[in-house]
Amino acid sequence: MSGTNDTNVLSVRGLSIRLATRDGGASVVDDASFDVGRGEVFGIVGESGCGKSVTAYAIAGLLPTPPLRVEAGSVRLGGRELLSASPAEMRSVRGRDIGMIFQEPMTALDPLYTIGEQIAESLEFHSSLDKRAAMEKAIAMLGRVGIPEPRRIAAEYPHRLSGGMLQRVVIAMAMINEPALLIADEPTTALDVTIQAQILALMNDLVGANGMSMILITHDLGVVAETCDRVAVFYGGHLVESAPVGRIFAEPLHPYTDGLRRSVESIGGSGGKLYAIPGSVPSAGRFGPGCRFHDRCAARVARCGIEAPPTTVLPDGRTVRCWLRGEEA
Amino acid sequence: MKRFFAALLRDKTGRLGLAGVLAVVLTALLAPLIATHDPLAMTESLRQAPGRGFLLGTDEFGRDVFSRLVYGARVSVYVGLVATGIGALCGLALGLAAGYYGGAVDNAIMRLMDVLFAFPSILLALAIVAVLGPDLGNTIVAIGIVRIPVFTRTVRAEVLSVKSQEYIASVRSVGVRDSRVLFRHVLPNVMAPFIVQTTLSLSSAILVEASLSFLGLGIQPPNPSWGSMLSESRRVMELAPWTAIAPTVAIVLAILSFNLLGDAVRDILDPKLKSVE
Repeated sequence: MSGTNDTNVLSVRGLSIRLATRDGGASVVDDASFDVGRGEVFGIVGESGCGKSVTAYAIAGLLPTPPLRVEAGSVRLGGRELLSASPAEMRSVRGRDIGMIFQEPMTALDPLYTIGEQIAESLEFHSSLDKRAAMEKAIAMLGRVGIPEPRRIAAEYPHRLSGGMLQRVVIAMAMINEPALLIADEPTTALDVTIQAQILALMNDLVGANGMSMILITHDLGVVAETCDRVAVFYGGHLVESAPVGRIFAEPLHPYTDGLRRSVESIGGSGGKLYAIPGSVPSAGRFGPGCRFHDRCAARVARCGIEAPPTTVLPDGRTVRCWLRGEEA
Repeated sequence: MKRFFAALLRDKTGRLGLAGVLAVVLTALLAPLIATHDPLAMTESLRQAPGRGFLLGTDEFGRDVFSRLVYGARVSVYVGLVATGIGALCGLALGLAAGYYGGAVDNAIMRLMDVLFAFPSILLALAIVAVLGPDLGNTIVAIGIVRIPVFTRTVRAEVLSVKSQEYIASVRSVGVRDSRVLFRHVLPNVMAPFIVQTTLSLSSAILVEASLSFLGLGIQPPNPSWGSMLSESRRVMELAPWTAIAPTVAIVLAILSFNLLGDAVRDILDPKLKSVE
């Protein structure tokens, strides 16, 4: 599952990101490590502010610095270190090797350029195509993402299209250079439920057809269950558990994952009151020395509040960051 | 562009403002054709009331007030346009740099603007003219400098808001380089408030010019400017009130026209007020 090195497209090791604040700074992501295999759809789930989007931005070299800064760690894409790459190198990586899809399709396109122009722009930067050829390829790509009458739509401005259509455009823009890795940051959150399924299916098809890998960031466990191969759960900047998607639901290792799983309504469920994890997430910077989840955890032991647990790798490749599991393994 | 003018003409305020501004500009351009007398020529008929021969009467030196008013429009329009142009272009460049690059660049530029802003605009213009010496060119430069902070702030605020839009992250995510992001994606998106600010700023520039000339630091006599005409009229205000009324009305109407036009332009360009097509 977590594969050997040569099958991994992306390898993140010990990634730590800090937010500079007036009172010293806060740890936003702490010591996160994960791999994304070739052709794999890797989910990152967690609540708002758990560090999942920041992780994605750091991988693409798009962290707003300051205030956010990568403190430590390594991000390797196809064996190449990205964190020490120059801005010019990162520019050539973005778009060509890494494509990004954003949450809000309505604002993800510049209102002053036509859809065709914007897709062609990303193409012109990474290929030697001239304007006309780039536009033709953009139109072809629009057809592939299921836009009807792509030639006409390419000449339209973004405000003329619906959210679902725009998200297809954004997907076309991210995939036009056929990057090895696609990072989708909550791509369906802003869309209607009926459109969500279409967009997810489209992304899965395209990723599968091109042998690409995808990091899918979401807070929706339903989306994870439907689309991902493997999933990492973030809580308060800690990657608390990573496992194949089936195992996460069948046999969660971390108490937080278990809480998440139990707080999702299922069709044909008991009909009783929905489970909620007690308490709320402490804000970044307010974490004590212990496990970041300990004050909301039903299974905590004395050690949890004093010392942060290390990440334990189980023999089957799953990882968990919890004292209870660490000792077992 | 065609749509913009159509919208401007559909708007009542816009029509009125545009008509006023065109009247002032045309007067300035066609001054030699419109004026009935030489604006500098003194005649025997001192302080003659408006009527036959002299449309708006004569001043204390026997010069035709109407002709001086017409030539004064040249000064107002010229100073207004060039000074606003200087302020707008400098402000645009500084605002873009401050907003886009942030950090130390932003701090340096904005603190400098705060200093400029701290002076009342007339006082600052006075000081600059006093240093450079009173003549038309220096007046224009002074008024231009006074207008810079307004533009810098407007542009910077807009850049900050545009910069946080996802489409900027999106074009950066496909590898577009910084300068291209700035000039092709940020700049065009801040143009609307910038154009509005420019239109509104024209009237302020005209007013500052009138004030400077009134104080004797703008256009030097005997050349006519609305401000200096007003200033000269002070001595004979009771004997010849028309010498004060004419430039006052001209200033009020010109500024009103530019402001009305500015308001209409803002209504048209403000995306928040724009109707969905």
